[in-house]
Amino acid sequence: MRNILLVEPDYRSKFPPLGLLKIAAYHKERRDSVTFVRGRDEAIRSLHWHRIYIASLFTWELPRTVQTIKYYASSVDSTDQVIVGGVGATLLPDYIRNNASCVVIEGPLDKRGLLGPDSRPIAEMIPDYSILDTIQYDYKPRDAYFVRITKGCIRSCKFCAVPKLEKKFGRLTKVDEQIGSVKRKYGERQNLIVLDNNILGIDGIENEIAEIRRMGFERGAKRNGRKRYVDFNQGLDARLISENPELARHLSTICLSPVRLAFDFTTAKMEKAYRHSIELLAGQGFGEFTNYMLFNFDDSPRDLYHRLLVNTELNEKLGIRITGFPMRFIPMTDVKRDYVSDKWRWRYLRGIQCVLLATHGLVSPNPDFIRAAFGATYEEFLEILAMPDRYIIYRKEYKNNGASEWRKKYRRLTEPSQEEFLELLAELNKDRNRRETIDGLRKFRSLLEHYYPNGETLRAEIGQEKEGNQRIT
Amino acid sequence: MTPENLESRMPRIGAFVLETLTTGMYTNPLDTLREYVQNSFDAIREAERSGLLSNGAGRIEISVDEGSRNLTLRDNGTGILANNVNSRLVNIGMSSKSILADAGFRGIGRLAGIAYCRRLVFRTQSNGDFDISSVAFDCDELRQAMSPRMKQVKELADVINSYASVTTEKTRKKDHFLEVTMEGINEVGQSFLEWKKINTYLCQVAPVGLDMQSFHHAGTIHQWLRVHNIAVPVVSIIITSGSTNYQVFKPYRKLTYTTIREKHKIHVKGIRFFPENAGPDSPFWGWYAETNCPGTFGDDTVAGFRLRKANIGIGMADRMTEIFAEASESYARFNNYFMGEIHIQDSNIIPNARRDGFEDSHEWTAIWKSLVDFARERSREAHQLSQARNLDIERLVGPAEREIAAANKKRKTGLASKDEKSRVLEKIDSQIDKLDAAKKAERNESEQNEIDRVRKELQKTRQSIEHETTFVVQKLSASLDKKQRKIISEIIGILYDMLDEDSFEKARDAILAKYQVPDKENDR
Repeated sequence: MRNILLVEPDYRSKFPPLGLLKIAAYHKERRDSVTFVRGRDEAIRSLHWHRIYIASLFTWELPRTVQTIKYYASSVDSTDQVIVGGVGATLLPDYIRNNASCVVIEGPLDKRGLLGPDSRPIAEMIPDYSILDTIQYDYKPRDAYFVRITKGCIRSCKFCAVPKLEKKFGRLTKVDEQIGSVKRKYGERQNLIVLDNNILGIDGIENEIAEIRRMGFERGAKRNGRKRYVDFNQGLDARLISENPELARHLSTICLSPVRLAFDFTTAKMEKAYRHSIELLAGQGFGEFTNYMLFNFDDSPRDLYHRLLVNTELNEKLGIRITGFPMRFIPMTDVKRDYVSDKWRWRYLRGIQCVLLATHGLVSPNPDFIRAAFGATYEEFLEILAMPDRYIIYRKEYKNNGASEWRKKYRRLTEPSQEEFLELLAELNKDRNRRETIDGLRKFRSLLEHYYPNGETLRAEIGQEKEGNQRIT
Repeated sequence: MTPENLESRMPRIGAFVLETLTTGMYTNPLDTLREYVQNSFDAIREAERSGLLSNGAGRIEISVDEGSRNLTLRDNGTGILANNVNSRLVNIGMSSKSILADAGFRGIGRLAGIAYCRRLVFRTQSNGDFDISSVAFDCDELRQAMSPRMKQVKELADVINSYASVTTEKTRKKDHFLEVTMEGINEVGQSFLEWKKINTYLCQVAPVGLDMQSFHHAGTIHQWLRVHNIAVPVVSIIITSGSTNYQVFKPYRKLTYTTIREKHKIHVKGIRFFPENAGPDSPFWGWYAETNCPGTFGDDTVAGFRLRKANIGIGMADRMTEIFAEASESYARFNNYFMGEIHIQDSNIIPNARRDGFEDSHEWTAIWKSLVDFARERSREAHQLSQARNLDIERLVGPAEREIAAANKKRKTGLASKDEKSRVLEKIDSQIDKLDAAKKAERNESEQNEIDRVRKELQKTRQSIEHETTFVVQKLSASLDKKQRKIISEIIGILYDMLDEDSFEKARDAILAKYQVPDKENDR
């Protein structure tokens, strides 16, 4: 019998750390005492622990993860009892090894003996949800089953971590078994979150959908008078639906909401498949869609604007609501979040962030909103993104109070000068002696005054990026 | 509910007596928890004896809720039969527990919580019952009624009856447990809501196991216990508070500690046991860590020998500190130079009411005397170690080398007697001890090597002296008869005792020159 500590570093996370929940189940089975904590906790650190597990997620949160590992290092007998795993640790194991003393487990815990000479494959365990009841942090959604029917993905998109995390596509435990075990151990849940990377890729997907239906998630299903929903949280592959229109019909037999589709590529083929799948699903009566749009990868600002227009067009034509989810690409090996691709500019990425601030990262399906927020034309779109933060965020307040003056000056710049100016803004953003640098400049002084009045940075309320901009797969 | 037997048989006792028995009795509020743990421990051992629980399946769960200011302690022991709830939980001082088998037996301990909460509730179910019985004490009222300030002296039984309520509820679930809840813990009882304090207290006092996973020497102790056929009862205690879920283990964990103010490192090198031939019927047994003894342990949860009875701590380290002081006043400090436990096994020795010491009895006096001797030995050991450690290398090696030279000369001229031989050996041993002690101090490599070299030489000299079986007398010329030889031997003995070393050797050599046969070996 041992005292086991599970730690999720205090980065923003939406879903409960299922890996830790499974490890909790494993240790409780061994009659160990299990404690779950988020972030750094002085009282917890002051105790002695036999083993500490620390989760990791986004690579850009690895510096914080490393701090957390170091923080708890003194609470165990030796640092080989500090075990770090998860997505971040799998993508950049050496970053952790080089910065902290611990054991890094790469990849999923799907083999015997990974946590001890006789340990079971942890990936198969039913997560112990009870450890969540005791902490303050609010994971969303609270009242749901979390299942995964497959691992890996049939595709190998270059921007995606899945092919690195789970090399092979394959089946896991059957969905009815997973739901059944959670129900028996922790009681029934209202909703079903399916975390598969590409669920539609498995053979006989219609059987899986039928199974979900039988578990009480048929179309219009209710429990205790409340509507239930099934959320394929990591999205459905539009190309597969377009190739096999029957899929849309199968999906319509369960209480799927919302329909999440990705529109990551900007090829004509992809656009056709995307439009087609939306039409098929709308034909089956689906009205709420969520659309993941990767940008800052090998796309251009024009590509993103185009996708916004496609959605606007589909919304108006089909009478549906597609909510956009622009996802800024960050390379899988970056521990910072400052990546700017060739076709993008720092100012434009920043501008997107400002536009999305009010809506927590969402693009409203309302066509008027899209036109107002992002501009009615591509040129207007770029101009909005180039504006100073506060002019974007508080559009109305600054409309006649600086913004129009800024616009006049900005429009006077030739295209190469605009490029030069955008480049300067990117450099100034990183500049530690910004004030002195600005003082030493002769060009663009009056324009810069809008961004940095008196050389100061205005505290525009741009905090950390919102949850909506994060996507694991 | 009136326990009918109370009124007729009980002598009249004023209610304020209860105050003395409960709040007045304990120095630390958390001692209350020890009482509850002890009660639970007894019930669990009872359940183990009767086969209700398998050995080691006993569990005590303590949950703390800071928000509602409640603490609940629940065990899976026998529970109390519904019929006995009144006599066991409501009546005072009539515990049915057997003194021989059980750790706690005084019955009043369960009321200790009255001082620290608004309401004290006991819930229990025994294995055969389908009733859960609850006894709730209204502590605010009880405290008022039993205050010595109360002008009007109330009858104890009346007071208890007025403020205790007994209820039962039916259940369909077969179970056995006892649950104590302190509801609405007050300011005085604040430490009941701080699970870290609870852990710090219980790890020193509760009958929990050693931390097998972390304590390198736990295996050694278990092995020794097995060989000596000694059983130490343990129970699992788990503290739950918010997200924390923590099992309590004894605090012994590390191989390296620091002294107070972190001046020196204390290295745990091994475990020593005493008495070495202890068995299940010995009055006591103990273990302690063999260390370099540089000073007081900085971690006060492990410092000092701890007395335990039925694996429950009696009086933290204070009792043994007193025993060290008894050996010599200046030795009191040495208790905390050590880390170890002394388990009292003799069933005639019982803890006092406060459980911070033992009731007087001749059995306890006997143990106490041997412990004073033990403390004296340990103190001397610690003292010697600390002296040797502080010696500089010259002052270490010089005397050792002089001792070697002297011993070799002795060997050459012949030892006078067995007595002289053992005296020489003693001197060598004390030098060896000093070197061993000195090695424990942090010294540079060349000093370490020097110590090793001298120690080896001492060891060699010691061996050759030890193998010396012929004494001066036996080397005397065969022309002397037995009587004459005896006289010469006695004279040499007298000279050895009376003269200083130089004169003795001069005189002895003169005598031997006259009467001894030439020794071939010596010519080599």
